[in-house]
Amino acid sequence: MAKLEPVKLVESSKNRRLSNLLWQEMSKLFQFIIAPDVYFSPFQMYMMPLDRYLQVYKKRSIMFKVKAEMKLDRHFYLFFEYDAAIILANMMRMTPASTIEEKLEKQTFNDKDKDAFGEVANQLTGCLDRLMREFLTENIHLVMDFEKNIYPDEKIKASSFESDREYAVLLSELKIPGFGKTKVTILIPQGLFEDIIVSPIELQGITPRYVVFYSHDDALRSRLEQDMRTRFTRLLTAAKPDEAIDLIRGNDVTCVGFDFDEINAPLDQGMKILVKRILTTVRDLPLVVFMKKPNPVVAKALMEEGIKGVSINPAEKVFRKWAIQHTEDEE
Amino acid sequence: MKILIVDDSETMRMIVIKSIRQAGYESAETVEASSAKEALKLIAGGGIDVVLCDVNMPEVTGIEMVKVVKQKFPNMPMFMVTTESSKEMRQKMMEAGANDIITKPFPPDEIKRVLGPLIK
Repeated sequence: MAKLEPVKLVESSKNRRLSNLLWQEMSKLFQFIIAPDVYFSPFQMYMMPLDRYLQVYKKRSIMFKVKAEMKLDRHFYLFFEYDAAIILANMMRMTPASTIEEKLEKQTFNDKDKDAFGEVANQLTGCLDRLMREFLTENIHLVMDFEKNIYPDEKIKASSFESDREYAVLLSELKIPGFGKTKVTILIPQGLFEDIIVSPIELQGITPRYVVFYSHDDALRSRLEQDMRTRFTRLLTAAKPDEAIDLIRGNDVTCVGFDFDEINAPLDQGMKILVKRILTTVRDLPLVVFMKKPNPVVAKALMEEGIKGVSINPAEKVFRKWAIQHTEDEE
Repeated sequence: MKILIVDDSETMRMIVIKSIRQAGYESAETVEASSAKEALKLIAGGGIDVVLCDVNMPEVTGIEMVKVVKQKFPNMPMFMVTTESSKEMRQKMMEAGANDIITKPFPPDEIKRVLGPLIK
């Protein structure tokens, strides 16, 4: 798989709307917590895998997670530079400026500061919760998960995060009068980001490749749609073979998968006609066929009709890896 | 006017008090409780005119506390201070007997909105 570098998102009216609303809510919050003249910059948006973000951005930070219970892909990570956390927590506690300066110099962030910062995190959670109700039709309730860990430390490595997929990274700068500039970052899983803006993410300099997949199994299609969201791959799914054929004809497709119900050998006339139609449409494109209860006799029958790629493993186990090899190796 | 602020977060109690002052109620007396248990004792002791109460508290939640207070002191004005914005949660708060809800983060005007009619 290609090494995934940070890439800027192509701005669209949809992602700008999310970014603006989030910026407005957070600006209001910081102006309430800190002072009316605090400045929170509009977000710059990138996409990158989590471990790449952690490599690129190694500054000591306070991190907390905001998540929907029972929905693994509905979560956010928020990173505040350590200095920002010290300032925010102490401004919440109305600590005098000279004491805050001292704490910054000594890099002190004690239990009371952590509690106060917890309230910042709590209110940010409220902002995100309200926004998600605006954007998502599903019934979602976000809660905060703040373990008061300071990144980087043993507990916060890439492997301890929720997802190994890519994240939309929203970067902003917080200018606090008397204390200078500091960074705030919000990480949103690609899938959630795309669901919020109701559109696939577009990245500067990257044209994703289309993959078509037919399966009668609604749940399988839905899982693969979630699972195969990468910067290089766009999965188009079909619930009927004819729909899949139309998708192949209507798009510049890189590879194709057909997941059939149980097939018996010898193939009946209907199946033979369908296979012929698929092969005529697909031509030289990589094609793999799956079936319920695969067996070598049926596989042989399909190969005799001209299908070269017949899998005896279920689509769920194999298709993603196979398809992504075709979309990412061609970059 | 004696205002009881109930929140397990010391920081949040400070913020609420600051907002009360910024709303123009410099002379209002404020009393703090860090738990529902502590708040119930203070209310039972008399003298409290209005309660501003957090929702998510350990042991006894704000909603449970409102129910108990309203049973014994049905005329006690009680306002929930919360980040919760779901319809279901807000309905629960009102059904428990809350007079109104203040959503965090809130400007001083929100405090004026709820306390204004009560403070002469």
